[in-house]
Order: sequence, then structure tokens, then C-alpha cells
Amino acid sequence: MTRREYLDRLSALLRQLPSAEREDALRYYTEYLDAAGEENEEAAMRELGSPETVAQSILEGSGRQAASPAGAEAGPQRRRYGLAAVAAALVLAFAALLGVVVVLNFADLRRPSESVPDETQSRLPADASSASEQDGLMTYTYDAAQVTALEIDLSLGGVRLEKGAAGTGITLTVEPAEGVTFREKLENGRLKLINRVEKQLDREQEGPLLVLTLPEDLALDRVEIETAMGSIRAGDLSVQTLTLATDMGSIQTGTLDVAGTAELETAMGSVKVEALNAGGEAKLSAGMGSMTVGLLDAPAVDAECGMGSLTLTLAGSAADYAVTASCEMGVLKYDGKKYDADRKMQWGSGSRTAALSCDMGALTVDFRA
Amino acid sequence: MAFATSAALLDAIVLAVVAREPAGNYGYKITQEVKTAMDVSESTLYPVLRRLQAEDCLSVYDQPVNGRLRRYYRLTEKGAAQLALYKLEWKRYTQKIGKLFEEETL
Repeated sequence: MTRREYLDRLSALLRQLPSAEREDALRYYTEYLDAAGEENEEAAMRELGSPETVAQSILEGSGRQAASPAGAEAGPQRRRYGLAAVAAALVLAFAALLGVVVVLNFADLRRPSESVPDETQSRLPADASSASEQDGLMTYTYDAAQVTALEIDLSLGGVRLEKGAAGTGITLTVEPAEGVTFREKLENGRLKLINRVEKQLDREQEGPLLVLTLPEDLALDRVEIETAMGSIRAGDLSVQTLTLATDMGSIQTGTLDVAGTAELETAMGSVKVEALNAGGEAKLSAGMGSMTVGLLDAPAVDAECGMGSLTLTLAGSAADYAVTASCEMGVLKYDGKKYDADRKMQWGSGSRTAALSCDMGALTVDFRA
Repeated sequence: MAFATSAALLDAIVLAVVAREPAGNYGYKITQEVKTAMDVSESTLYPVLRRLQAEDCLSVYDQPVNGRLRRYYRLTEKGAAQLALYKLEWKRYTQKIGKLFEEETL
């Protein structure tokens, strides 16, 4: 492969990147081969690896996945807890009853596409502006101006969001736990906090708790928190887009003000949200767990209940909504009326939409002006 | 090397290599120098440099060399602070392990 062919191939493999990012990468590798010198060009290309290898590391570095053979961009996919997932959850529930430790299974299940970070030194402060240890607690601080998004993904343990004074930094405290690898990373404004269970735990463990103190004037574009079994606790939260998900843990929050899309999910856990105001769609999924939203104000609601229970109070009155509802073996209570047994229904022609689906659980929708 | 190298360690080594040239260092040379200390594949350096740049640890400037522009990377103040932190952590880390190893041979 000539240098031209090599760079052309790389350029083609990077087409999903914004042009500025692609040009930056191509320029780097053009210069790289320049610097290697004409006589070493071939060796340099061999050492770099195939254009595919180089492209993959660039795409991974920019937070994207390498294009699939079909060429389709593989965007982040959210799991939906349909009947199949409920069935899977059931199997896991039986496994739990049999005394099999499911923590590891959930850890594997959680993000099939994301490998466990290969960190061996879980305490090295990779991205915090400072890190210190006291009384067995690790404390990290971040410059709030650097953070626009929060991504938390925990295999074990939970997270609590607290409010700090305006103008202060973001503080994170973590209790290091044996057998649990914790990794924090601040990249392009995204503060990522991840932990993974490294070995089978032989006792029931609540798991470490992350306490994250956010200054009250912090404006976040995106908050994504997922836990396997841990709890998520937050007071009032104001954010552009929001995802809160737990497999078996619990979520409790105050009022959530979301400018765009809001997603709440649980497989087998419980979710209790005082109020949710969303400018975009509100997607709720209760799997086998239970979910209650005290007051939900959104132009579009998508609520799905597998075998669990989902209780919503929608803002306004039934006349404000155009509703499609399906009820297989579950029970749907809508505006005081009860529907069951394998029905699909449509009501109203309001400007707001609600898609309600109830497989085998109990979905209750009321209204409050 | 028998020991796994972490992403943080790679960051630290890249910062240290860049810091050695106060006027700045360029991609190819950084790659070669990192490879003297750590066994990494050449293609991992670009994403690391780009990320460190995005994190404000490195700044870049272009300078003509032999009639072509070459991009140089230089440590920012934040990069220097980060490197100092890494060095401190590394010292603590190696001291602890060194002590352990020595005790073992006694």
C-alpha cells in the first residue's frame, strides 16, 4: 500500500467524523509519515498498523464506535425493557433465589459494547484537578467550568447528588472497596465515573457510595446515571437531557427539570420521582420494578410497564392528550377507568401525546391540572 | 513488559516527553520517545495527544519545517500541574512497592 492509498483509506474510514476532526487526524498522520522520512515510510506505516486499526483508535478516542461492516453508524443504544428483557430479568431473579451471585451477570449485561476499563491503578487521579485520601475516603475535585455532562455507570454501589454553594468546584468522594475498580475521567467536558466488580463477592454488599457535590449554579447539558443494584439519590435537578436507570436498585429524586428528553428506567428496582418537567419526550420504563412519578409535565410521554407497576400523574387533563394505549395481560387504569385483557386503545386529540403500554403489570395514569 | 500499563500512566509519560522540549515536540518524535519507555502501539498516541489537548494539558502551534507545516505540542500550565501530580503519585506508588519488595527479600 502506498502512502497515498494508506491515507485515502484512512480518510474513507473516518467519514463519520465531523470534517474538522477528520482533517485534524489526516493531517497528523500525513505529518507523521513526513517526519518518518521517505525512506522509512513503509516501516512507519507497518508500525502504525492498518488504516483500519488507526481509524478504530481515532473513532474510539472521539467517543464513537467504528463503523459496522454495513457502514451504519452505531450510535448509543438504550435498552428497552420489553417482554424479552422481563423474561431475562426473571431468569436472573431465579438465579438470585438459587443463591447465585448475580452482580457479575449484571455487570456483564449492563454495557455489552463497553469493555471494562483496563485500569490497574484505580486510585490514580487521572482527570481530577486534585485528588486526596483521608480516612479511607478518596476525594476528587473538578473545575465546574470544565464539566458539561455527567456520565455515571456503576456495577456496584450507588450515587448521591448533593448541592454545593454557587461558584464552587465539583467534589466527589468515593470509598474505595476491595474488588471494585473505580475510574474517573474528564474528557471533552464529560465527567465519567465508572466502577466494575473485579471478582465475585461472597457476601451481600451494599457497595460503595459515590457522593457528588455539584455547585447549584452548574448548568449541565446531560446527566446519565446507570446502576446495577445501587441506589440513585438526587434532590432537584435541572439539566438539558437526563437518563436515570437502575437494574435492581432504587432511584429517588425531587423535581427534575429537563429541557430536552428525559428517560427513567428500571428492570427490577424502584423509582420514585416527585416531579418531572420535560421540554422533550419523557420515556419511562418499569420492567418488573415499580415506578412513580408524582407529576409529569411533558409534550410527549412514552410509558412502558412490563410486569411491574407504573403510576403517573400527568399535568393538565385528559383532553390535553392524544393517547395510544396497549394492554396485553396487564391492567391499565386511565383517568379513573380500568382496562384490561388484550386491548389496544386510542383516546383524545390533544396537542400532547402519550403512548402507554402495559404487558403484564399495572399502569395507572391520572391527571392533575 | 510484564506489568500492565494504564491509560493514566500513558498520559503521564506523554506529558513528560512533551515537557522535555520546552519549545514543543511533534507527533512522530513524541511517539518514538514514548516507545523508549513504554510498549504501546503507534496508533494510540494520536487520540491521547488530542484528548490532552482537549483537556487543556497541551497546546499546539504550527511551524514550517522543510517547506511544510509541522504541528508542535507544548505543555500548558494545567499540563505541567497534571504532570507534577502524576510524578508525585508515581513516587508514592513506587516507594510503596519498592518497600514491599525489599521487605520480602529480607
